[in-house]
Amino acid sequence: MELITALLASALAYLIFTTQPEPHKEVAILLPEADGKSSGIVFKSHGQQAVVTEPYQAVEMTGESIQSKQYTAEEIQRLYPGLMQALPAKPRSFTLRFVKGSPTLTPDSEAMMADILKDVSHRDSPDVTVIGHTDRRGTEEDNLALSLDRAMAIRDILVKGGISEKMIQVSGRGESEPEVETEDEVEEELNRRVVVGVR
Amino acid sequence: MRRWINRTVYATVAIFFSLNAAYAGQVAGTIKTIKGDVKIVRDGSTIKAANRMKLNTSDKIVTGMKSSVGIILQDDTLIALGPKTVSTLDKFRYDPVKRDGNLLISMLKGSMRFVTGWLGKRKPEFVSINLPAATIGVRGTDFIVSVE
Repeated sequence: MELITALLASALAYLIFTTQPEPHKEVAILLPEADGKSSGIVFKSHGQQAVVTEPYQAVEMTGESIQSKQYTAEEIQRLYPGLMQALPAKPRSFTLRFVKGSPTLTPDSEAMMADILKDVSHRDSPDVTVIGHTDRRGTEEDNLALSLDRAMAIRDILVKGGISEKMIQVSGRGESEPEVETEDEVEEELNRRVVVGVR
Repeated sequence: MRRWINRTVYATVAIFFSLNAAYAGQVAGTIKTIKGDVKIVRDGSTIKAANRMKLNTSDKIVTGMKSSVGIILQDDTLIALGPKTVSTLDKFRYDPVKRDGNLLISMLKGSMRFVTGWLGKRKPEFVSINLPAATIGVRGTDFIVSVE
C-alpha cells in the first residue's frame, strides 16, 4: 500500500513538473538600424527557417506554426516600454590630438572636450578609458612618459568637468600603437593622440 | 620518479584550471541600468544585481515584475531584459584585438532587446540567441525577442 502511495505521489510530482505551462509563443521583431543600413534576423525552429529584413516586421511562432506580422513603432513602444528604457547608450570613442612633444591639446580637440563631458553625463553608470599615444620621434621611454602625461592631462579635464575619478581608467601606450605606421623617428600628427572610450 | 609524477599531476591540474578560468570565468559584460528586482544566479548562489557589476559567462539573469536591466558586453553588444525574464550568458569569448569570438545567449522566458556589437558585425555566424523552441541568428541587427 505504502509503495503504491509512493508511486502515485511520484507520478503526480512527475506530471506537475512536466506539464508546467510550456512557452506557447516565441516572437522575434526586427528594429530599424540607427544608420539606416539594412539588417536582418534569421528565425529557425523545427527545421523551418524564416528571415526578417524589414523594420518592425516580426516572426511569431505558436506551437509549430510560424507566421509573419508587421508592427509599428508605436506598438513596439507600448508593448515593450521596459526594453526601450533599459537599453544602455551605445559606447563611443573620441580621438583627441596634441601639439608636438607636449601634453597640450590642439584647439580643435580642446573644443571636443565639451562633447565628451556631455556624452558621459548622459550615461547610466559610465566607464571612461583614457589611453595616451605618441608618434615615433624621440626615445621609447620618453614617449611612454609623454603618452601617460597626455592621458593624465585629459583625466584632469574630465575630473574638473565633474566626472568621478573612480570611473576613469588611464593608461599610456607610448609609440607602440600608432594610428599611422611610420619609420622610427618620424613625426606624425595623427599618432599624437589620446583615445577616450566612453561606455 | 614519484616527484616527476607529482609534477605532471600538478601541471595537468593547473592547465585544467587555467582553461576553465579562461572560458567559464571570463568577464563578459557590465550592468549599466537597473530597475526594480534583478538577480544574478552564479555558481548556484543568487546575488542581487547592482549597477557596474561585472557579468561572467554562464551567469543567469532573472528579472522580477515591472523590472528591467541594461547590459553592455565587452564587444559593445547592448542588451536590455524586460520584466519576468530568465536569460543566461551561455558563451562569450571575445578577442578585442582581432574582434573575433562567439556569443550564445539563451532566454527561457520574458523579453530581450539585442543590439549587436563587434561580434555581430564581424562574426554574425557565431552569434545566436536560443529560445526554448527557436534559434535566432543575426545579420548586423537591432531586434527584440520575446517568449510568452
